Amino acid sequence: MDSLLGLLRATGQLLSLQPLLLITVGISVGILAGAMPGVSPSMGVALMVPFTYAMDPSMALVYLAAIYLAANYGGAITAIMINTPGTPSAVVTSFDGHPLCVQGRAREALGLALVASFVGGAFGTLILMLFAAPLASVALKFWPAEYFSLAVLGLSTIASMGGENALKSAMSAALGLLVCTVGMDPVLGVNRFTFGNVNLFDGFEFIPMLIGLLALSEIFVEVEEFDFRPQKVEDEAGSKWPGFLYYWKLRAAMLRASIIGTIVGIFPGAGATIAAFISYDMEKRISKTPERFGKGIPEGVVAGEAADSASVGGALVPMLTLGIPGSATAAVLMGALMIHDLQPGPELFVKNPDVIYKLYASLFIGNTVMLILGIWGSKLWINVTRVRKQLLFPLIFAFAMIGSYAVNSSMWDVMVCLGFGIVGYILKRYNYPLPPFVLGMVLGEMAEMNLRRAVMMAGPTAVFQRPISVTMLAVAALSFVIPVISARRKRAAKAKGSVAA
Amino acid sequence: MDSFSTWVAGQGQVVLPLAGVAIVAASWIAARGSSRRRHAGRIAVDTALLCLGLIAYALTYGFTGMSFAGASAEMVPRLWAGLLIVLSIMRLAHAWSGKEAEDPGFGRIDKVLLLMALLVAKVIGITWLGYYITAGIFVFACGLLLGYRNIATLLILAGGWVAFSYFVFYRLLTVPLPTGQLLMGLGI
Repeated sequence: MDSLLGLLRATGQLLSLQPLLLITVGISVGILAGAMPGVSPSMGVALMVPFTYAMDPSMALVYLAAIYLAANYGGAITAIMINTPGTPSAVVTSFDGHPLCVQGRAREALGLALVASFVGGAFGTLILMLFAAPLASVALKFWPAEYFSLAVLGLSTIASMGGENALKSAMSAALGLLVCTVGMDPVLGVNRFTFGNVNLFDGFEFIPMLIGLLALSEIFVEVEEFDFRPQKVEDEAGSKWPGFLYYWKLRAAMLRASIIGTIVGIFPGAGATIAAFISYDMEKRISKTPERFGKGIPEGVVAGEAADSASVGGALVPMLTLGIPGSATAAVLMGALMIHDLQPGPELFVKNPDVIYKLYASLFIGNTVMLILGIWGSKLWINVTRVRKQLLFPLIFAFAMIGSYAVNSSMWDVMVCLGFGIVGYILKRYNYPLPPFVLGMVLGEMAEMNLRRAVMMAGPTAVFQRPISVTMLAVAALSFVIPVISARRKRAAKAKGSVAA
Repeated sequence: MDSFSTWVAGQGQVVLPLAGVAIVAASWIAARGSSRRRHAGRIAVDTALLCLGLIAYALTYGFTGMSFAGASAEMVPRLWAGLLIVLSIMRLAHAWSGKEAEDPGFGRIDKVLLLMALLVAKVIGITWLGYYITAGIFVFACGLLLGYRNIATLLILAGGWVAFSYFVFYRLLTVPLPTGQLLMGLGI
């Protein structure tokens, strides 16, 4: 009952001019960021963090969550119109969305993506509301040993995401964890890896690191490819927005995709892309006409898009309750919360329940705003795909620089951003995934603080003394080992197959 | 061990990173001259990460020796550095055994390097010329570097960015953007 009252109160507070304007701006920025090829949702959120410095923490979260929510839909616009997914997760949308567009049914495809995003987003938020608080109350009973194991569990799942690249993912995460130890030791105040540089006493600032790793590195890679030819936008004349009954017929597919998206999103490290692929695969398996998938079937568009958007709510569950981000964008969001002195985790529900309720309410409102803006601004969003990268990239660089500077009004942070941009570019070039690096940076402090607390309380074997902690470590080990073994088996089977052929 | 700790806390902070750079360069040269020529880039990156782990591990011996109830300042950095070392060795073994995919080909690496140089120039430029002039020049030059040739559009873009950063960051968000030592010296 308290939760419902809290939610109603937060909804009332957000239904005034300023918050609504903020959500609308956030949704617009998110759609634009998602629609621009080369700008990922995590990059979009990271670039917008500097704008929130002067905001009230809960409003900053509302704004950034709106961008996160809308960026996933924005990615579908380019996927449908020019077969160039604006976000990795929108790849699935392009499988059937673009063929629909080529058939002259662009508006139908855009409408499907929009409504599926709306349904998926609303479902994910509902699950977030229902399960976040109970999970947080369980997490409040955790001891430091369990928190350390939880951090390891979060790290292991993202490291295992790489499949054949598992080793690289693990190295990337280890690098992020090591970077996190630079600066003054949080317990004893000992300087570590500072080389006498005063700027390093507080460690590397999170946002410049993040902007460098996610935004600059991506652009360096694109510049190396140097393919800036404008994409041809398919002719959409004659196509229509579908009516309510059309969508109603697809309700089962939307619901299935929403459930899959939310569940996958909850697992740290899985994220929207995996959710969309699993959902698409599932829809194809149960379809009576699987041969139509990939040629422009509405269920294909809905499966990817609803799962993609539902994963947002799912990814926020572990972030808010356990302090473990469920996706790279959630990691950025978590960093932004920390900048505003809000520590994601179970205590957030006790200390700042108003922030949580505002977030829930904003996700619902944001979803509705996205639906309205999506219909109203379809022409505009399509035009965004025509923005030349040669003009877009200088602006992103300029944004990255000023955003890094704005954190502390320090040129040192700009240099940190540039340095991490170059490191990220080199790693990306050689297929080292960067999300584990970000996760390592985010979870590093939590892992260190709790490991040391546990050792102080119960000695060096502290993390092996409590059953929940041991279970989590075992699950972490399994979740790392199983994908590696299965990838090896697949490789071996493939090699056998090619020898036999 | 005490003398090593003292060395690490002093000269080692310079010598160890330099040694790391030398080892990475040597590994790249060695790979280029061997049958693993096409994996030289990957080998160099893996060696760099191995060196990073080893150097970080060594540097922990230079931390001020403080400990509280068995939890010292070097405990966690050693854990992560050790993990990085083990994983890097595994990766290096993989790369040297030839099981790894070949290095990606170089695209317009010249443009990337020029862009990095432009960004460094921007950082230096901000200190001397201030944010606004440098940012305008940067946006214009960056567009040119990326092959855009419509000068009028680039000028509008550069001017627009300067105006946007002034109104949004300086006026609205009250970020004190640097005015530059040169201009300050001139009293502008």
